[in-house]
Amino acid sequence: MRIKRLAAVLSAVIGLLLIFALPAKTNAAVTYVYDETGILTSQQIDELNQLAEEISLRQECGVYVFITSDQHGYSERNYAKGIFMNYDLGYGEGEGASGVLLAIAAEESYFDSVAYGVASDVFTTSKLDQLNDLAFEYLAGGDWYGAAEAFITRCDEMLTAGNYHYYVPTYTDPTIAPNVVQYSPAERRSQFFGRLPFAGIISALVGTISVSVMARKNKNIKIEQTADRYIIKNGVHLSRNQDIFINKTRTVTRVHRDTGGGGGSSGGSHSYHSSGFSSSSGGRHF
Amino acid sequence: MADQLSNYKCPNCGGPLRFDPESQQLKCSYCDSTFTQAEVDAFYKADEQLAASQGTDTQWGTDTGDWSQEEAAHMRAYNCPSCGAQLIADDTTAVTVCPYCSNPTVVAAQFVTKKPQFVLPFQLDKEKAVELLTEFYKGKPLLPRQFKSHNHIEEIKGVYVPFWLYNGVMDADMVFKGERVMQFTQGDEVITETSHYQIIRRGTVTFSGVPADASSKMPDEYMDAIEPYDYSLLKDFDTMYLAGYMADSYDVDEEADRARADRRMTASTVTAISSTVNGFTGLVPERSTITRIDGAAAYAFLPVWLLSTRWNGNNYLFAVNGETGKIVGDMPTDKQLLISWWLKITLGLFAVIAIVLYFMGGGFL
Repeated sequence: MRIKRLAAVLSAVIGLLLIFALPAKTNAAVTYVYDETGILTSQQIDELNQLAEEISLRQECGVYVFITSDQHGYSERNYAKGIFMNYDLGYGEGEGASGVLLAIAAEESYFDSVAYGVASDVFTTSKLDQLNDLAFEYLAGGDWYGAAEAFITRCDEMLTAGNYHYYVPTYTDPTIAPNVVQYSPAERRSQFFGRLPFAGIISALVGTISVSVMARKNKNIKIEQTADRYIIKNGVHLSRNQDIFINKTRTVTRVHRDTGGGGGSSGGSHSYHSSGFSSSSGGRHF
Repeated sequence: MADQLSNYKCPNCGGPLRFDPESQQLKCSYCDSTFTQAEVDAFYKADEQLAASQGTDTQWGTDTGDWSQEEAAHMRAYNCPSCGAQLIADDTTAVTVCPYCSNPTVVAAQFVTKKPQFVLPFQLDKEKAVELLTEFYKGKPLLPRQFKSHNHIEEIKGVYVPFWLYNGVMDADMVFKGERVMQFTQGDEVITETSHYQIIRRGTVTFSGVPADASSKMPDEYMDAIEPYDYSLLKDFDTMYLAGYMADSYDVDEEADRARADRRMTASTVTAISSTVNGFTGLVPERSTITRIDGAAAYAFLPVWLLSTRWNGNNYLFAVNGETGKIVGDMPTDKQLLISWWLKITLGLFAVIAIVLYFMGGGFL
């Protein structure tokens, strides 16, 4: 009976893990305007893409509008940042990427904008708030296309007004937690299941050690090897107690002391706030 | 089931007297009167005089005593045809069950055993032993439940187990290699000076009362594990202390058991002498010669409550130190319970780790 119950629990755990393990839908396409919900028509997407591409290449700053079905597992605060990083957005490569994104989660009716890299020089928090205000006017009225078009156009204006020039920046301290922002849900799922075998091994080891300890409680007999407790009081007498010096060896180790000064300044490169992102005051629901 | 009786009779009512661990006196089973040994001895003055005329060696020695004619007349021997145990009890004791293997068909045998020099009287009565053993079974999750309910703790038996108590003086001649290391800095150099020494220790270590059970039927590891006994309560042997209990007669002589005691004394001598070497690093023993230069053994009865029980075709023996209450005995392990506990712990921990990993990883659903 007990074994049957355990088998049922085991089956349930394995079943749950299999459900977790089902491949999640992935979004591989990366364009300037992307809609995974079907809200925009193909023609609208093409038009917006052409507009965004022209601006992005001219300004050397990626301008993006992404409409996702949900927040992809991110908190509202990290949603736009997560989409930016997961879809590898930005003009330029790696740390040189520069861009601005309007991310809209359709199911949650939530949107937010974010800028990354050199674009953060122009798209400060107040500017991003302005962009959010603009998008809200359209989204609140259900005009998704209008929101995207207005966002792209206003970004172009802001880049020009802000005298934007692209360069490769230097970041001081990229502290955005990788497991929060820099990995996609699919990557996190993969990491999770990659770690499960180790969790299984550790659990099995702990289980084995625990039952061994429990089983050892059932055994307490052993042959005694010593008779320490039967040495009488003051029962140890030394007739010879001699430490004879034989020789002395000497080793010398030279210590290398570092007398050099600290590193010089790395003039010329631009330092950014720690994450490389600039964010709005907060996204909105519409 | 009266399987043990006394050959002492109550001076008041003539009922049988038993040794009472609580009062350390003889107690009448019928009228509850208690008597000191002196009082009983006075009552049996003639017997006492006879016993005194035989004499008892109270010094440590290497020999066992002989029973006086009077004592021997009141003692009986029994053999267990199953495990071969040789038991003794006084003449009115009907030993019906072997305490080692629970065999219910012990048979009378010729009384030829030697008389012990010392006895350590029972300090725990049967009630206390049963209580301790019951407590011993608790907190053992892998112990089969049926084992607890079917092993008849109340059938525990008080047995005086024969022991050789060895005295010995061990001579040690030990040589070690050792180092003393000093490190200091001079300018840009760290200088390490290592002084090498030969360390010589010679001396003796004196042991008293290293026990080794003298019964081949009693597993050595049980009696090693049941130690220690407090020898300050040792008494010169008197049959009074056997009243109500049975005793196992020795079948391993002093010479045969000495190797066990010597091995233990040698190990402890090495430890004791080595502990006098201080202030060295990298201590390496170079030579160690340990020799026993003096030794003697005394034959003594030490008190043990024994419970032998059978389960799943195997015999399980439990021993309770009749003085301290320490319990030894290997118990069976229920394999189903073991697998069940392993699954519970492993799956439970796995689920916890999986949940922690999921939330630490930021989730993905």
